[in-house]
Amino acid sequence: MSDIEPVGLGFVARYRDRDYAAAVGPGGDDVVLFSETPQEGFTDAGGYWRLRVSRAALDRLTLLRTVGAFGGEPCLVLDEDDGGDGGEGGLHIAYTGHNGLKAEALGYWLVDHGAYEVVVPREEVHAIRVERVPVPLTVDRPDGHEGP
Amino acid sequence: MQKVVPPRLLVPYLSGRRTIISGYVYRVQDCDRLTTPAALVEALDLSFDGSELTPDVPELYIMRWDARDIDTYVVPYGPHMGGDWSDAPPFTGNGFTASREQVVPQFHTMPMPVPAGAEIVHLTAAGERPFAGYDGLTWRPAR
Repeated sequence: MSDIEPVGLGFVARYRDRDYAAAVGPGGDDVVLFSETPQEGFTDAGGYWRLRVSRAALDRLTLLRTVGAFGGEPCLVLDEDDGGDGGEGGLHIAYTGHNGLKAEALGYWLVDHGAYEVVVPREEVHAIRVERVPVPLTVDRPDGHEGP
Repeated sequence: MQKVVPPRLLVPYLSGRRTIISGYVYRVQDCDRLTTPAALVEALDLSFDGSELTPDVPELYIMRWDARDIDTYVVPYGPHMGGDWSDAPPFTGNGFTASREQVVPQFHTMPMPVPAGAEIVHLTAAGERPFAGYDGLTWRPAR
């Protein structure tokens, strides 16, 4: 059990003194920033605004993820599930161990080939912590030269 | 990289409810001989217990994306190969799928956000066509 508020899995980019939800790509060097409000240089994408920049143009790029333990095995919190109509809801978690048989024994579902996930009551997920993994702003290249 | 989208996950992906890639993934260049749904289902071990896919499935949706330096793909080696991975059959743990017809290197990723620029193609026996493209937030019909 924990009072820590879980966050979904995703990137946050700091650009011109603001934090934006972000996605890596489409190019190896690119990051796309998203905003719910118009921002200078951003283009209207229908309901939100976006801007493609190179990673080197950012002040910071961080991968946010929430990890924990379920049934004594490691898991990643994907999102909070409200349970739909009258449901109990809980945390949508993914098994991050290496033993699919153990995952099935814990009650996980094989939702995709090699991907075990389940929605469980929040109090059954222990040791929840939010990790902020810094992403290098220079791209590692196979030839050993630093980008961009 | 590529991954066949399980039929029940297609709508969650396209509607933006599912935003991650997770599980076994393959390099596009290792799958270039697999040009029909039947060949992919056989070569990528996709008719596992609990799968909706069978070798006679008429169509598949395949997600493709570019690997980048920050991704963390691993080869899921079993104990006999010095690793600690195990899974329900047809998992081999030898770095390849179980196919007897094709030699396809197998990789695994923990959940990762779908990258911008990812695409979904629709494959039938007649060939493949672009189906949707992802800008990092929203899937749109392929142009």
